[in-house]
Amino acid sequence: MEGGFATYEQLVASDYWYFSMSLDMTEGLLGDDGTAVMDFFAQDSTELEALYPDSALVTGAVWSAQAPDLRYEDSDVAWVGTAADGTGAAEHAPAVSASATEGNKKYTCSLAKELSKIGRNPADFEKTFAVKMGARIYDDDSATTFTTIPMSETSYFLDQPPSYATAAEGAYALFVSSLAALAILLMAF
Amino acid sequence: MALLPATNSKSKQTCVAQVEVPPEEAEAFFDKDYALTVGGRVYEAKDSTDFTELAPLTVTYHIPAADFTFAPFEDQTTDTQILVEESFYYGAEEYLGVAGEAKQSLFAGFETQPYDDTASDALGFAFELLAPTEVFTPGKVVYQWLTYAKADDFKSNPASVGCVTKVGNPFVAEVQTFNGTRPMSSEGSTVVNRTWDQQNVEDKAPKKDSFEILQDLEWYELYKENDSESVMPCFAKVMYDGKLDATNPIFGVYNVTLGGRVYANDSDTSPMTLPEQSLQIEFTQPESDLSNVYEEKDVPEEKAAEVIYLDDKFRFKALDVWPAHTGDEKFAWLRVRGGYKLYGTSGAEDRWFWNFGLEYPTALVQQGEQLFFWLKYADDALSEDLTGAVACKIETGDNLKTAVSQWTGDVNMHADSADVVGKKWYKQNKLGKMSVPDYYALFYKEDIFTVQESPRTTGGYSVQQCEVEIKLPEGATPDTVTLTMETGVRFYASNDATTFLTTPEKEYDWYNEVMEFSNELKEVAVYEDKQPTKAVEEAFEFDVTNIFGAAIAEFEAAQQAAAEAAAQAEADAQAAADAAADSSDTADANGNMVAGMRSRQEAATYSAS
Repeated sequence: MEGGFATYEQLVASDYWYFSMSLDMTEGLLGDDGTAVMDFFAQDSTELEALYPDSALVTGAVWSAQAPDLRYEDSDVAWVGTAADGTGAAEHAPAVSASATEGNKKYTCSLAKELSKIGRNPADFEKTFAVKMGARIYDDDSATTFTTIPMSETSYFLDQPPSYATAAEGAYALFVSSLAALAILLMAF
Repeated sequence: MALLPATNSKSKQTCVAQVEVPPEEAEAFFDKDYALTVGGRVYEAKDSTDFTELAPLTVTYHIPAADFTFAPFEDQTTDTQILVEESFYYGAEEYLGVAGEAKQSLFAGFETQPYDDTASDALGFAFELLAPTEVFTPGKVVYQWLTYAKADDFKSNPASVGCVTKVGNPFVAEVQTFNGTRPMSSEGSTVVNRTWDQQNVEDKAPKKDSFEILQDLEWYELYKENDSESVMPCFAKVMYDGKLDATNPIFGVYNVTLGGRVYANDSDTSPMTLPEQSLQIEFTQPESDLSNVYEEKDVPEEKAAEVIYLDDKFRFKALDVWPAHTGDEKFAWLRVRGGYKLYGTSGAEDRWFWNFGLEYPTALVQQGEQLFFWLKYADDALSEDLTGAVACKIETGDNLKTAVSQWTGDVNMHADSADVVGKKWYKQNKLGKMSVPDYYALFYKEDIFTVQESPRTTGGYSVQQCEVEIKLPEGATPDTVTLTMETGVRFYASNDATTFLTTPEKEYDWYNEVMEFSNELKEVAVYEDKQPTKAVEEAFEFDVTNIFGAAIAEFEAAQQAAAEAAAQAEADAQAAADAAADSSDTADANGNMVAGMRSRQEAATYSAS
């Protein structure tokens, strides 16, 4: 899992909070890349396990029919997936690095949330999220059984999105960063 | 409350408790039999627990039915076009006997509904008397008046309007109209030494020519301006027969005299008198294109920007609101959008708007239903300037029946509030309700205020919006502010309904920074030159053999078969070539390649993350 921000210079251009989820697997084992679909589910505190592989809202259902009452339509959420033409999240999320394992390939799915600069509420950030991540592999769109990739758990601190650094600011930032690194080295010695 | 003398050298103690019964709630109290039990206890002292119990007494009595009927509620939206707004300041000590300042204001203008040919125009006068709160003790009668005569008409009699309000009882407000030359002045021979309702009776106009009161109680009820001052408003309105065209004799310049008196009670003949003031008013034909009134039409397009600042959408289950709904549409959405209308030219006033949207199953859209969108905002300190509520009511299918209400202070707008339950939509939450809201609705914009088909691809949905906006005085709000917001929608079957359905009521934050127009706002967003900042990168390894054992076996078999087939094809091709040209080196090389692929497969380990 990779996550972060993609920021843009213009006031009217939204920034994006992205996640790229990859399954680093032997190339060919899962077939070719296909289209990506993003589904957004809203869960309250009683529904946190709704998407777990053993959930009654998941078992016996095709992938597109999981937890239907929790799923939101794309037009109702600020999250975007990657469309068939490559627009959407893949435009904002940086490309994931290639697999470090010979013969493997990363099967990647990206999603991103639009963060408008205008009206951005600082209180929406600086929050720590408990993250559960899993994956299921279905043979095809009509399959109701699946292969489960074990769930993983981590935490994620959503910081304030960084400001866009203009060219002049970028040079200064690099200088400051070098100084900071040097300072750490000095302290270490 | 003091002891009163009674017969046989005794004294008696009285205590009075009263409750206001608004006329619209009379049915619940009147035409009923009551059994009333009265008891009492006399304590030895204020802090004593010893008392003498008085024998309880039970009486029965009947409250007769109310002897009045209500006029139909006027829910047609009208536009008030103020022509004059004048205020006059006095020392309250000198004229009202209480230290402090006093101010009398007059607003005059037309009410019009230019988008309904059947709606008549009206002329209205609004009075306000601001004074120290001690001036307005219960029972006092505030009499505000004006006399107006056309400046170039020396033949017609002047007309006068008296607007009467009683402190503590807005239900008895009254408007009087006079036609004649007898002055309304406190020194006038038909005013002096008379009670307020006896003055100038000689010139009183017939009812058909008279100004009337409004149905909105707010116009006749004292309200607090601040901790020490209060305002007594009063509104007088006269309806014309149809619309006023340009030739109507009402238009022209008028000489106006304004005055006011405060009577101690209905029988007082020596009121406190405010000084008279003279002013001129020009009545001009009401504007029939309201966009000229409410929109900044002189601002060039490149200097105007509409900016969505807040956009929250709440989904709820349709059955939670409409239990009888049988359609396939499971959900409905309440959307609140707030934003700025910003202008980059001098003289143009920036606006803030709230757009409420309800997207719900088309099968549930009922023509004539009253949709009451409300929004409450409050800062942590519940400060006066940053705490209040605004509501936008619209009748489904008739955008001309849009109404805007606004409250100041900490108002409980929730559906279970005692000031909401059992009340008509326009009667709820009297406390803090502004007689003239600062927010207004551009109800003539049919693309907003009429029901629209939803673009949603699933199910059959419709969208009803209601939008209010306010002109932003410069520097009226701090640079940044965080407010807690609450929003909901109530559904009333009609204007008379006192029961309603409600959506779930949502709470959210509104973080606001004051914005001004800038050319940046007119740019088209370009998503190039992104600056990515990676905040997290984590890999979770797992053992693939248990998960993909079968798939791996299949994959390996397929890989091997493919490799063997390729090698065989290569060998066959080579054999064919050898037949043409004898070359033993080539056959050795092919054998190494196949072996290498096999070797790689045999040595393969499968890892995944």
